[in-house]
Amino acid sequence: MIWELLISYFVVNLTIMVYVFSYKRCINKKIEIKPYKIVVTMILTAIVMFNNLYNSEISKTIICYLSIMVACKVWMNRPLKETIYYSVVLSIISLMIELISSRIMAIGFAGYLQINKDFVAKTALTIVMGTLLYFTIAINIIRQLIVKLEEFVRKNFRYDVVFILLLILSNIILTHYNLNYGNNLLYVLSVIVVLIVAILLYFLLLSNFNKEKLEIKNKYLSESVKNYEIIADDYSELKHNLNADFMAIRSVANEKAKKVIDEKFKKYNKSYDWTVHVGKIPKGIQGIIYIKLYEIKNQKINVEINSEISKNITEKITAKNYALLCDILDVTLNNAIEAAANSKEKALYINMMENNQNLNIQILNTFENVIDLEKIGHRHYSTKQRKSGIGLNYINKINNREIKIKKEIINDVFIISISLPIK
Amino acid sequence: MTKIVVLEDEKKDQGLIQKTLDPFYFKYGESLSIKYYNKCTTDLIKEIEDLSERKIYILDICLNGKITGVDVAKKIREIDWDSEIIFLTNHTSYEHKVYSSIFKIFRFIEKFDNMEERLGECIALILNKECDKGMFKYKNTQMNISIYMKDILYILRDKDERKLIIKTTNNIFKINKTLENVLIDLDARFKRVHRSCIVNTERVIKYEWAKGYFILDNNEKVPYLSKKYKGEVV
Repeated sequence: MIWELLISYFVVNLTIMVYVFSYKRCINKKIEIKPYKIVVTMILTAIVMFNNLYNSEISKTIICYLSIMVACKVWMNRPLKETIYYSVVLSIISLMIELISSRIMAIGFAGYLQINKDFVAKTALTIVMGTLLYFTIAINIIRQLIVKLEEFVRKNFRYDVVFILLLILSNIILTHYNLNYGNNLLYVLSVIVVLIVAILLYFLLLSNFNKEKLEIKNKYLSESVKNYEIIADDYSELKHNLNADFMAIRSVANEKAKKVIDEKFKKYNKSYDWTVHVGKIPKGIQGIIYIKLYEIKNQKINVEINSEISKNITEKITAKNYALLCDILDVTLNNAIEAAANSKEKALYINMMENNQNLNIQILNTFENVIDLEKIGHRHYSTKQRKSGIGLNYINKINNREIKIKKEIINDVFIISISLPIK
Repeated sequence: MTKIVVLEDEKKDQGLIQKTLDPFYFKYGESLSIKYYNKCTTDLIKEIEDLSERKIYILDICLNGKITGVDVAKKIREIDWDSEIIFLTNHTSYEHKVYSSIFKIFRFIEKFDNMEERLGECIALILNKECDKGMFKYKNTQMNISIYMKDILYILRDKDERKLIIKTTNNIFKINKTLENVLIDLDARFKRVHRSCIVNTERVIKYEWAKGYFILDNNEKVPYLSKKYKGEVV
């Protein structure tokens, strides 16, 4: 019994040190031997050994992992992220080696459980695994691959990814220890289930992470927009008041002074070859409209956007309607921009309003074209240069009980009115 | 009967407008009425909704309060595309290009640039021209369309597509209707000049009966003129 304990202690210690040396080999750094490191390693070895003897399978795996990680950190004294990465990668490689080597060894035994019961076989397997791990790392291609991957992970380090990897690893090991090794199908199935759960968990965490990131970005953006709006309002008010003051002075001025004032008015009220007046666009569709503004600017279309919708549009309508609204706006704005660009007056007006029941958006644009009123909205009929005929046809399909879309032409102005119910 | 509706909140400017409009009031007598508002009230809304009279709106863009002259113009255009709208502004008219095109604004007058004189000219222009309220309306399952009759140049029958082609100043519309049915919806200025063509006689500058074409005020030559219909036009 005492011999078995001593051998076990030696084997566990050897295994831990194999991990440390494999880590050292990967990062190509020297190991400084210090008494405290030896003491920590001995304590960790004892913990792992007694844990292996007396604890349940779940705690065995977790404690084994943590011990290897702590040993790597203590011996190499490298940044935590790097240590976590290498411990995880080495554990995965070790697991693969274990799977293969135990499979080979199991040929001589009834199964994996038999190996676990046989002290000599189990010890031999552990030593073989340790040796194989070290020599696997010694293979240049594998080592370089791990190091390159480490660079990538370091740059894009994500705790949630590490957590997921650890989860997969611990589950695979647990499955490996707890299931009859002879039942391959069950083993593979359980691994697949674990992988699916892990992937789902990963995307869940990822979406939460992205949401937080977006919220922070949006916060800064909306603060900037708010500041810009305040400045624009102040400027507008100031300009208006100055003009009014000028007018007041003009009304009491003599003819000569009137002429001077009129000249000054003309000088400070600049004229542009195109105008953009963008009011407070509600959140939720700001992105779509701002993207279109680039095209509008390029085409020198005079645009005016007026909104009386307060707060975030996404909070007012259902998620399904919001998605449809984005599609409709994309199609109608593309059409409106192209039509306005080809007209003489190049004008586009967007008006957004709300009442207790509905949210109404109107897009009005000038146009100059040949329009077949019987074919408009039919598939493959288009008045545009880049013909597809899909846009208005798609909008026709959306036109349903909830979302009402009305198309109208008043002289040379094309009007699309969209009405959505407020939830 | 014509009504001029003025919306101006500044007393001083309202005085200037009144000074400009008074001569017209004396000239046209009872056939012209003028009403002044200094803000958007329910009375003004009722005024807008009443479509029994021809109206000329003079709207100051910047008003005290939330509602601007532009909002009032939008309200007008929701139901009335026939009235004329004149905007008074403290800024340059370039800043309102969009409204001018979309909402058919007759003129923007900068208050700082000879407002009285320019306003007087505008009013004279509007009052001197005949009120032309006519609109051609067409509706199908896809959309509604309303075109000012004064903007329609001519209407042709396309034999191949079996459709009518309505040619306006800026656009061409194709509809499923017969010339006979369309003629019922149009007013007296529209005459049939060919078995495949109806023309807006007010837009024609020359008929060449012998050569079989007519020339429009945009210099377009249309080869659809038949002597058979001369009696209808002349």
